[in-house]
Amino acid sequence: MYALSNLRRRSGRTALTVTGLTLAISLMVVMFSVGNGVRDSARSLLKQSGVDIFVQANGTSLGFANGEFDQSRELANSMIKGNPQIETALPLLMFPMYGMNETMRQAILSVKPGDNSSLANITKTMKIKGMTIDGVVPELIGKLGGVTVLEGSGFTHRNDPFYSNGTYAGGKSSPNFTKEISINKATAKALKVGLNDVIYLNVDLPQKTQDLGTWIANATPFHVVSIVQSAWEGVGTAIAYTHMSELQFLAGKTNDTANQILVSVKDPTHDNQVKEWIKKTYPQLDAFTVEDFLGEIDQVTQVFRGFGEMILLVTGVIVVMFVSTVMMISVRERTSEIAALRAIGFSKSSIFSNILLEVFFIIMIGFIIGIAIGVGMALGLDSYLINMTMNSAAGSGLPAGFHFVSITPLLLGQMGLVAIAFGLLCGLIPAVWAAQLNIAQTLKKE
Amino acid sequence: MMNLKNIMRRGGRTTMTVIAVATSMALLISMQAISDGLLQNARDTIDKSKVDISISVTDGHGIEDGHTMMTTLKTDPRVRYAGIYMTEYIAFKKPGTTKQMWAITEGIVPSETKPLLPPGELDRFPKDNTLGFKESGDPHFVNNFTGSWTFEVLIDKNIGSALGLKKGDPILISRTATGPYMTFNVSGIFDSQLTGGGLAAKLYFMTMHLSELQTLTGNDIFKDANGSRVVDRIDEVSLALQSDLRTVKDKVVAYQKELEAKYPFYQVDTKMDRLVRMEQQMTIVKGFFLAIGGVSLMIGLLFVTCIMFMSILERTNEIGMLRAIGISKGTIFLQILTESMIIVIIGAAIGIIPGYLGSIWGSDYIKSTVGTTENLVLFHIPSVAQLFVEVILLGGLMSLLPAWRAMSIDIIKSLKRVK
Repeated sequence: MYALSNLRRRSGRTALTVTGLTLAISLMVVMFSVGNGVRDSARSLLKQSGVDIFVQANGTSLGFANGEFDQSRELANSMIKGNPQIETALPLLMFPMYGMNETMRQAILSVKPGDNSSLANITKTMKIKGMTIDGVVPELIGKLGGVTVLEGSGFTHRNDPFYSNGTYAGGKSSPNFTKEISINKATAKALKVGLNDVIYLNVDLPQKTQDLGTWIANATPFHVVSIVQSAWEGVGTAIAYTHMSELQFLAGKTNDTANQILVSVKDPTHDNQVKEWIKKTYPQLDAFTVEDFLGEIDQVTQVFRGFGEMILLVTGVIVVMFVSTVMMISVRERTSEIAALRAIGFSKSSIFSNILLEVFFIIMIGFIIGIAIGVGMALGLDSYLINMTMNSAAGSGLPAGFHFVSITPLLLGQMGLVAIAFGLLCGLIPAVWAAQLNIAQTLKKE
Repeated sequence: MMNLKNIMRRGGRTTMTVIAVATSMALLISMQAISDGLLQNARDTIDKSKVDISISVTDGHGIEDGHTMMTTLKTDPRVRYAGIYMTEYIAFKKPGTTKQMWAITEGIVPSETKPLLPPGELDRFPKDNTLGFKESGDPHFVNNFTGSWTFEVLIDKNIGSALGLKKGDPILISRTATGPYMTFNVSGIFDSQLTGGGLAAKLYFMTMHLSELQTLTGNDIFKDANGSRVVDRIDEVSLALQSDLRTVKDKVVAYQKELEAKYPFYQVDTKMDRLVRMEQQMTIVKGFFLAIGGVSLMIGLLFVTCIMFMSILERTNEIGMLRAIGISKGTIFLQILTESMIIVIIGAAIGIIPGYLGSIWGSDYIKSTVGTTENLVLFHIPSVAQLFVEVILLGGLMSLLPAWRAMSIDIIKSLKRVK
C-alpha cells in the first residue's frame, strides 16, 4: 500500500487533484446524460405507441409532418392487403380547433342582442380554448397502444359511419355524423368539462365579443364519450380524438385527407423491409422507422452534442495536464526514495506499477465522487428543464415520461472507460520516468 | 523580479499551468462570444423589425375575415401599415419531373407587406415590382374569392438550385402529396438566409398572394350542406404604428390594451413582449454554456492552486530563511499571491486569441449544422475585458489559500529541516 500512503502523505495536493477530476467527471456525466436523455425518452415513448413505421407525404421529414395526402383510407387498406407483414395501418389527421363548454354557451345565449358589455364580462371569466384534434378510425387502431381510457366507454361506432365511401353526405346534419369526442385530461381541465358533457367546436376563434353569437351558431356540438390519456401527449397539452371523417369535414379536407398513416408490423425486425416496400409501392408517400425518427432527433440535438464533445475534449485536456503535472512533480520529489527502493531490490516494474496505481487511486476517487455529483447535477438539470418547459408560455408539449437526461449503466460504463483513459494518459509518463531512474547517479546526488 | 525568477525556476510546470488556464479561458470566451452572438442576433431581428404590434392566435390559423380586419385596422390613424399573413406547408415539383418537395409557404399581400420589412430583410427580395410580384395587391380575394389568379410565386434560393428553376419558369403546386397540381410561375427568387445544409437541408420557402394560398388550402370559403360562407382565414396581423407613437412605450402599451379589449380572443404582442420572451429563453442558453465553461475554468484555477501549494512545500526552507532574516509575513503572502496571479494573468491573456478563434469555429459549426448564413458570434471587447477581470479576481481568490499557507510557515520548524 505504498501508493496509498504516498497519497496520504500529500493529502492537500491529492484533495485538490481529486477535486479537479471530480469536476471534470461530473461535467462529463451531465453532458453525456443530456445528450442521451432526449433520445432514450423518445425511444421509450415510441415503443409504447406501438408504431413501427410512420408514413407521410413524400418529400416531408418527420420534424415537419404537416404535409397532407388524400385518399388516406384507400392507401392504408391497400397497405394491409398488399403486405402480409403489416398488421395495422391507421390514417391520422391532426388539426387545431377551438372549443367552448355548455356553461359558457348558455351564458352567451342568455345575453340580450346588442348587450356587448355583458358578453365582454362573460369572456373575462370563461374562455374558449384551443386544442389539437386527432381524427382517427377507432377500429383501425389495432395493436397501436399507448392510449389509456380513464373514464367512459369510448366511441359507440368503432368504424367511421359518416365517411360513407367519401361522400360526407348530409354534412353535420347527417344521422351518421356521430358528434362523439374523446378528450384528454388537459382538455377536460381547460374546458371544465367531464364525461357526457358537450363541447362546441369551431375551426376559428371569434374576432370580437359581438361575434360570439355567430360563433356558437357555426359551432358543432360534440358529446364527450371518454376521457383518455396517451403516453406521448404533452403534459398540459389539450388533445381530443374524433372520428376522422367528421374532423375532415369540419376542417374542409374532404378528400379523405390525412397527415400520417401509423403502421405496426407483425415482426418489428422486418420494419426496414416494410418501409422500403411502402416507399416503392407508393411513390407519393415516404416511410420512416423508429430508428429514422431517432436519427432525426439526433440531427436536431447535433449542435448541442457537438458543443458538448468540444467542451469535454478541452476539459479532458486540462485535467490530463493537471494530474500528470502533479504526478510528475510528486515523482521528482521522491527521486531519492525511489532510487533507494530500487537499490534494495524493488524492480523497475514494481516502481512503474506503484506510480501508476497512485494515479489510478486518484482517478478512482475522482471518478466515484464525480459520478455521484454528476448524477445529482444531471437529475437537478432534468427537473429544472422540465419545470421550465412546463411553465413556458407555449405550454409544455412534453409527455409525462419525457426526460432530458438519462443515466444508464452504459453511460456509467463509458465514464469508467474515460476514467481509465485519463489514468493511463496521466500516469504513464511519470511511471515510465520513475522506472527509468538511474539508481547510482541519484544516490550519489543525495 | 524575484517572483518571475521563482516562476521561471520551474519552467515545465509553469508552462503546463499557463496552458491549462489559457485553454479554460479560451473555452469560456468562446462560450460567451457565441451565446452573446445568438442573443444579439435575435435581439437585432426584433429591434430592426418595423412590426410594433402583432395580433395572432396561439394554435393554428384561427383568425377569420383577415382582409376585412386589415382594412379596418388601416383606417385607425395610429396605424401606419398593416399586413396579414398565413403560413402553410405546400407540395411542389418541377413540371415533367416526379420529385416532390414541400415548402413552408407564406401568403402575403405584397403591397402591404413591403413597408413592414426592414431594409436588411427587404434586400433579400427581388428589387423589381413589389417584392418581385407584378401584382402588388391580392386580386383573387375580390368578390368572395372569385377574382383573378395571378399564379405568381416567389421561391427561395434553395428551391431554385435544387430544381434548377429561375424567374419566369413554371412550377407545379399542390396542397397535398396526391395532387391535383396547379401551375404557377416563378416571379422571383429570394434569399431565406438558410444555406440548405444541416438541419435546413429539407427546409424550403415560398411566398405567394395570400388569397391564392387560402383557396389552395381551403382557408377561403367553408362549404357544407347548408351552403357556404367566406372564412378568409389567416394566422397573424402585423401593425407598424405612426412614428410619433411607436417610440413612446406607454402609448404602444395603451394601444395594445385597446386592441386586446377589441379582440379579446387573440394574442396581442408588442415588440417589447417579443424581446422579453426571447431574452428569457436566451438567458437560459447563455447561463448553461457559461456554467459549463465556468467548470472548466475552475479546473484550470485549481491546477494553479495545487501547483502553488507544491511550490511552497518545496520552498519551505527558503521561506523559513526569508522570514528569519526579517521578511514580514505580509511580504511572503504578497510574493506567493503575485506568483499565482502572474500565472493566471498570463494564462488568461494567452487564452483570448484561441478564445476568439474558438468562437469563430463554434459559430461556423452552428451555421453549418443549422444551415444558416446569419452571423452568430459577438466578440465584444468590453465583455471579454470584463471576463478577463473576473477570471483574474477568481484566480486571486483561489490563490489566497497557498499564499496564506506560505505565510503561516513556522520559521523554527522550517530551519530545522535545513541540513
